Amino acid sequence: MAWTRPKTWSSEPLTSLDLNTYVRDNQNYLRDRLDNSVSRIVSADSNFSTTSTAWVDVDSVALSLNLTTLGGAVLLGYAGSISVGSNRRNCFLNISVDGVDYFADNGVTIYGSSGEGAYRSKPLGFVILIPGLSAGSHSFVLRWKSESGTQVSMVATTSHPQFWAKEA
Amino acid sequence: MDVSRNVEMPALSLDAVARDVLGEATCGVSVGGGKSRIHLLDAGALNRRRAEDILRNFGALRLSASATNLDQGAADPVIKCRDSAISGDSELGYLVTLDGEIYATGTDRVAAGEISLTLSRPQAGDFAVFVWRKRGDYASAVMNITVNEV
Repeated sequence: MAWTRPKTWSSEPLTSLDLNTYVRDNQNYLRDRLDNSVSRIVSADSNFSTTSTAWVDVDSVALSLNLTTLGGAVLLGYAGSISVGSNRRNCFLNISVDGVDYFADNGVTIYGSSGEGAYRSKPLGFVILIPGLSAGSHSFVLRWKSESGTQVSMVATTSHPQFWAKEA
Repeated sequence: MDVSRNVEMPALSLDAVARDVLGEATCGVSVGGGKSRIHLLDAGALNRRRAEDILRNFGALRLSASATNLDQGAADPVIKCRDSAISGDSELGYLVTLDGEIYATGTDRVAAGEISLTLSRPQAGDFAVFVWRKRGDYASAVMNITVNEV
């Protein structure tokens, strides 16, 4: 159901057709958007790791979402813990929307180790607004890469990353 | 393109053999969710087959060690690969990690059908000695050695 720009009434009769179109249907549209979300909280038997220097899926199942939208903007969020296996190296996080990396260069956010010791997990999170999506089904996948082939890891056993999408 | 196998392998070890064998045809590996994946930038038939061999033959070499659990200060542990598969090889690659971080890496010459690696005066921690063939079926194996603090 699409949004219908509300009518400005003047002196014409208030009809059931107009009430259904401009009040009921629009209320339903707004409520459906509010309720429309999808989330994954990961509890895995082992952590996720990569050494890839190009964007790859963190996990094409556990950290992948499908959301059928009414059209417009979508909020995407991630919260989790990341470690980098070498000092002064970076881990980059990105998302793909419908199979296309949303950012081509270094993604949404970067976590870098800075001399405090390799493999110490640190919290990392982001919320990003994806505007202008058409109504219909959309896929969102969390992606990552490492700097110089350093092993980067995401804790998924004793703490639990969350990846979510919600119509804005 | 990814080539994957439904078993989780140590990411640093898999990365070492994949980069050595595939060179710039790979951008690295990923492990998790019950799988190990080699990411191919050049997914030609030869590279796909090599990646499949690496995954299929991970753990296929026979390794032995003079000790796998020892106290600091004990005799240096010696790790040997004496496997018929390497009889025609001139050298093998190796990677040693300590508590998950790279400790040493390089190649070792095959002499009289075997290679022998010595962990010289190791500090306390969990070592993993990973060895792989640089040709043929790219078979590999890992030996875990724990050195206890005294």
